[in-house]
Amino acid sequence: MNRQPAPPSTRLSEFEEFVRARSGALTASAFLLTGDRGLGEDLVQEALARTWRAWRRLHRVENAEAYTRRTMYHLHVSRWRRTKVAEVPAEAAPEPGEEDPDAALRLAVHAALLSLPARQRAAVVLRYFEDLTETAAAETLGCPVSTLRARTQRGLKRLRRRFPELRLSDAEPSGPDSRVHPLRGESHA
Amino acid sequence: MPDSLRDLLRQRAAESGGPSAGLTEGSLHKARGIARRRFAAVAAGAAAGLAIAGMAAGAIILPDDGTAPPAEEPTTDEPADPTTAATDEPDEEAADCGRPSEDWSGWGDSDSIGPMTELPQALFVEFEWTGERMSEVWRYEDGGSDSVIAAQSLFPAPDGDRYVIAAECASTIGPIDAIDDTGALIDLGVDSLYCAPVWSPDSNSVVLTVPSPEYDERYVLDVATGGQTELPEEVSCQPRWSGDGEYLVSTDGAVAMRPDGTGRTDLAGVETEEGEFASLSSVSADLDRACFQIDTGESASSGHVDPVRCDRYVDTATGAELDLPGGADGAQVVFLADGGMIIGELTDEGVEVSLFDDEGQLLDDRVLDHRGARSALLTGYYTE
Repeated sequence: MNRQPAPPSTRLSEFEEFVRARSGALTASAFLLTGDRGLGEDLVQEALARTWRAWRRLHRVENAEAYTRRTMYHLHVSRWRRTKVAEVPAEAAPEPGEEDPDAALRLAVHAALLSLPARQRAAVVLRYFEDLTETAAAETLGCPVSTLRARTQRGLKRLRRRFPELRLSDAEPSGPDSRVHPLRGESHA
Repeated sequence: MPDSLRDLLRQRAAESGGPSAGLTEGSLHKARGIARRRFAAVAAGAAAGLAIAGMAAGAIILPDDGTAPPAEEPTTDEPADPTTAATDEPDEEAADCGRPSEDWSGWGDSDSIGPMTELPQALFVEFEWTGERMSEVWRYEDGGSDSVIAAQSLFPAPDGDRYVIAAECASTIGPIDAIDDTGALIDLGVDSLYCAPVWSPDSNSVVLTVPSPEYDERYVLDVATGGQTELPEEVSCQPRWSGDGEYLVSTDGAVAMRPDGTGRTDLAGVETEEGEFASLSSVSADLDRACFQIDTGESASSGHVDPVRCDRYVDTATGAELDLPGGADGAQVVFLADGGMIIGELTDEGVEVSLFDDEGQLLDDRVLDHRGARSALLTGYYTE
């Protein structure tokens, strides 16, 4: 019943190992959300700080990852987060050019993503970058599945309008019940 | 050429370059800052009680939102020594941002809401000034005015008597009418990081949110009795109360229901143009009319919105736009329990406050000193 908590040095080691293992994936998501490496890392750091404070009750790394990710997305859309994200207006985004069309397209799509309202942006990143199911993405954002679906569709509609050639149909993430584990992300680390 | 959104996002993410080496140390450093802010918040909460007790003219200073380091904190971003960080164990109690004790029995009925045929003698207005991080509530009564309280993230109740001061993991709440009790502002231990507290029109209830790893717990705290009611998930972050306090309406204006989940009603919401971001600022007692604040750009898209303006006044059944009484535009609209409304507007002349009945006829108006503020918000109007 009275499980002995791990000694402090062990907990710190566990946390350090957790950060080493997961910070790559978290930073990549944060970069997509904020459009800036520094701001993205700041966002991850804020989320990890809260994770460390809750570490004792998170018990398992799986819980810690879900907690960190959830906190990070909430911080991103939170009205309390005063730091502005590095928004790039879609109008100012580079058009696909001749010299490096792939890089230009990536920048343009990222700029268009950043022009979406924060909750739509988060929904698109969770579904199309993190590959979460609708259920898992909704849990991460703390909203009903129907809301998550509406946000995703509104975000995609805007992206489609700007990039009609962008293929979305066969990139649809898995359905609500097709994944056992709500979080993946290793492939993005 | 990659042509799927997934491929493009993955390639773009790969260009972020990965995390820096000091991420762990930086996180531990920030975690210690959070702990210190929590302590400061509790201490300042007691100070706030004393300040309110004297109806002090001077402002109290409450902890900031975490963007600035605590006074004792080094101002550099040097990462903490991990060997010393190991002694800063996570504080389980602090991390469990939760709820008031169930033993707490509340402060009793505010007894403030009622029909209104003229503006009350006492009105409370919250001001913000350019360059200032705190907002300040002023009371206007009998031709005079005095400062009541100043803080960051301040949420006054309509009775002008009860306040929530939001802080991460350490929100405080308190009534002016408990001025002799230094515990008047209680440490709720609530983390209001994500969703602002929302007071009911009768000042007896406030919607609060407890974030957790699994799902956010949203509940209504009855500050009259200490009771707590879990909120349906569909009534999302910072909903708005109907003018009579019977219903809560989601921030997109699409769903209304009573706090216990009964009476669920779909509403038309509001039509928006591309690039517009609409959020519900207020809704009438009969749920027939609602005000939306319309924002564009980063301030809205990043979620930095606590909607108060009535940029679009609509019929909730059809979404059709209506005209506000008096031709007000971009003003603050408070829907009253009796069907009337108060419109507040910041102009060069001052804060213009007008009371209209349920048929749009002007009953009373008053102009208050705007104190050179950048923005003003009528917060206390059920004060008699």
